[in-house]
Amino acid sequence: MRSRLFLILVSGVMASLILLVYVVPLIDFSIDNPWWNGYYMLGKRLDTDIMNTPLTGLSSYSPRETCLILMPYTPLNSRELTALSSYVSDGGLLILLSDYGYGNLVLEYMDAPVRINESGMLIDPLFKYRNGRLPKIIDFSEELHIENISEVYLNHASILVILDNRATVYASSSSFSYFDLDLDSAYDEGEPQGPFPILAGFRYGEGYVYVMSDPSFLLNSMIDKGDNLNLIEGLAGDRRIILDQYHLKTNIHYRIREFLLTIYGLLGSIYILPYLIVALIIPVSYVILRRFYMSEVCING
Amino acid sequence: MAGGCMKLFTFIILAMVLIQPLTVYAYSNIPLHEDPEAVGVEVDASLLFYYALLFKAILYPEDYNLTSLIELYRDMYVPSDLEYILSRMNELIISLDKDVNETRFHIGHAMDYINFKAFKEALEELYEARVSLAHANITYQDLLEAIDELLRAFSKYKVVDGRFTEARDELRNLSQEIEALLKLLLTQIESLEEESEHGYQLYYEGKEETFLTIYVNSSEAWVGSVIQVYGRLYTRNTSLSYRVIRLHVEGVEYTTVSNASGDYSFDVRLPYVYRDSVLVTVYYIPSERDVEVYAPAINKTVVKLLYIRTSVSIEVDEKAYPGLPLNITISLSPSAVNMSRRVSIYIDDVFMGRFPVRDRFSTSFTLPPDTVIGRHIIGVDVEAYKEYAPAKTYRFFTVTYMDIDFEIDVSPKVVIYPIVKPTIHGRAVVPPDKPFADRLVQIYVDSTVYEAYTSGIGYFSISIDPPFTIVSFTVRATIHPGEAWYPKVTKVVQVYTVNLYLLLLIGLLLLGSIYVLNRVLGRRPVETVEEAPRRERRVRIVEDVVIPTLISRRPKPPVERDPVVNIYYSAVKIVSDKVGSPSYDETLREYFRRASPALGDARDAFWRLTLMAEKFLYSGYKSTEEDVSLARSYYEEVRRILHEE
Repeated sequence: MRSRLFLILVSGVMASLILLVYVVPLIDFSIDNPWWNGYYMLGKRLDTDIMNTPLTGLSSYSPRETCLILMPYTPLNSRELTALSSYVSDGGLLILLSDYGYGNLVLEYMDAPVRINESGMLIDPLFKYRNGRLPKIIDFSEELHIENISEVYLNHASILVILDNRATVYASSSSFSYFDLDLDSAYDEGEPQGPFPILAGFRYGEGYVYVMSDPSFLLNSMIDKGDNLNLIEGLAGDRRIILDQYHLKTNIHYRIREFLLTIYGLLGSIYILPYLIVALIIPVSYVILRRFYMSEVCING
Repeated sequence: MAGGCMKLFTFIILAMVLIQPLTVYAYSNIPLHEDPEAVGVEVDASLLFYYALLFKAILYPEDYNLTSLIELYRDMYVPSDLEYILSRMNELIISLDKDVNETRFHIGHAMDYINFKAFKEALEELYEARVSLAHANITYQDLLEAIDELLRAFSKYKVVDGRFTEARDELRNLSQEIEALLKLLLTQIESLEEESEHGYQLYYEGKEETFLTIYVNSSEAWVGSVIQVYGRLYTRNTSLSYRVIRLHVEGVEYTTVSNASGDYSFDVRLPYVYRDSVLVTVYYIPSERDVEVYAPAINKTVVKLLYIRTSVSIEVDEKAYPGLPLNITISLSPSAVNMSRRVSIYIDDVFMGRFPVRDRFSTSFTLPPDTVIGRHIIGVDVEAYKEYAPAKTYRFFTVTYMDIDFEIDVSPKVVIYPIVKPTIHGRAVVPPDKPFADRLVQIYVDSTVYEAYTSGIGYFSISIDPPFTIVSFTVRATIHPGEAWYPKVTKVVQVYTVNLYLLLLIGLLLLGSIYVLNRVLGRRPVETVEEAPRRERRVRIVEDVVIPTLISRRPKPPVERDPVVNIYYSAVKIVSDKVGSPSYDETLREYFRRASPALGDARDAFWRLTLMAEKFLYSGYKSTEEDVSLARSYYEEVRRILHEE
């Protein structure tokens, strides 16, 4: 009875593990997520390097040849902030896409002339896709030297606050837009009225930082709307894109899956596997040898 | 079993399904996004405010540009059932605006004529103004109906904000303002008509009608050229000589006096305006004694302007590099004869200089070393020169870095440290094969930085100490070119290392674990004395157990132990708490000898038990019940004494 229960348990655990590994978790902005809220299409459309490790690993990239797309939904630690700051100041290009994440943490660390106002949602009741929470941006500065950009659709965006003239505003919402502070999708007296900057940039050391107040414009369900894809391609220019996936907010499924994959990768690595085999062979050999020895003792009296 | 598996599967799938939706919204008060294809269509009062804005553009054209506002409609999201209503409204608004503007235009012209005392012409313009105003009134009535239809259509939607009433009221107020405007225009027309009629009576009625002809020596003329405008001032009976004739062109006024035969002539320099035509107006306003005798006269003509359209093109390097010159060639077509054109060049809207250009001009600008990598824009403005119209154009170019081939490697491939140290070496060349000499290469190994310089043939090499790590570590090498047009290039190489120190440590750990395993697994399981053997014990005689059987892979049958031996091992378990377990190479007697100092009064009982165990373990004899009973009594004695201690 016990052995049967044990077998059921083992089969169940094995099946769960297989399911956990093979079913893709629905993580927002995840490159593995093929549903409407993932970045799967972005990965298909652009040739990107995926960064699944802390930003301290940026040091292995050549800043002047690459561009980092960062959506910080988990806080960056001081080592990461330092690494990010060095990357940009050495000539790197940072495209910071943040609406309600930790974008201001990065901007504050960089003493940037831009901040993200996360206290509400940008609503445009006229220029939109079906409803005002999906505003359409049609006002682009001539300084945004990207061809064929006339409309970009956002999805639950915040707005930027320009602190001083070091920042250049590249795109703004329409003058009909407003900043919905109470999230009732309706304009209330006292709520700030547009136009609001939604894309700005500033120089940082030898590099450059673009700040956009919405990462959702690159979702699978949004990337083909308007010129959304053109915009990110244009911002990245000729540089190779590094897409940060380490600072996404994950769920239990994702964490377990990552853990399992990490363990699997670690154990299966050619550098670990030999040690592992040796580590397994020794106790197994020991047990076998001991049994052999005991048998001999029995035989020989 | 299958049922259990199914239950587990179901549980896992349910758990995953439940967890997933939570992840979208759980971590922010503000939802990060929503599925655009799942959202409902929403309409709010802003649409009405937009139309209010269009109405304002009709009312206050100096403050709002209706054309650009209407263009915004193209980018607006409009629910399909409102499309027709809104399109019709747009047409009506455009039509109303056109009618209102035409009315204003004719009123303006009429006022000009009144200023020139050309009351007859003023009245004609005012008639046109009335016609336009009548159209405007009809359109306005249609527009009012369209507004009502729009407001009715709005009632089908759940309007999400509370400004609907405000917007509706504003729209209605503005439509009333338009009505007021139409009335005002009518009043203006009536007033000007009155003035014109009065002037007509004053200047025309009872006065001899005058005529002013106007001719130009050329109906087409180059901008900036002088044309002759001439004609005659006359009445039905005679020419009017020595009268002041005025000419008006593009805000410039000329005056002349008719000659004895009433002819007049102006030499007029056409303005440098690069458009299709210019209006030339001549007029005669009677003065002094003529006021009582002659009526005013006005005439105008259009002169077609000729000018040369300038075509400008830019050739610029497809790729430019920070700190290096950017070559630009500007071509003008057609080129100005014997004269250069002034051409201004801008890079990213920064003025770079003004240059004289005849037909083709090449120059170069050194880009600042800190120029951002990416797309930039170069713009060219060609100033107008005489008959050559101005022109402007722009072109994109890309600022990038020159290629460097920077390769690094490590030797040996596998480093046995500390016997061998890894050497990082590499080469930097500018393609195709120009060595990149005397450049700093920084090598990062964890937090340690090593520095090397490339040799004359672009090579570098440096020995490093590997970090205390397992199997492999990463070396990052960055070359610092110094020139702004070369990038800092970083390459990474993985170094495999066998760290003997680490291996030693691992070995020690393994030995330690073997020792611990030995301690744990080395103990024989203590079986209860009362437990009966499950199977009949096989006779362990040497003849039965031959060597070939031992080395065969067949599993050995379990060995049945004599009850006395079991009792002995139970006693050993108690004794081992004092002196540790017997080791594998220790005989029963040796163990007794080792344990005896710690046994005290139990020494004798344990000795006897040892002898009994030895007998039944090695002799092959089977114990009797008396033997077992005796052994148990020794065991009890050992246990009692050692437990009491």
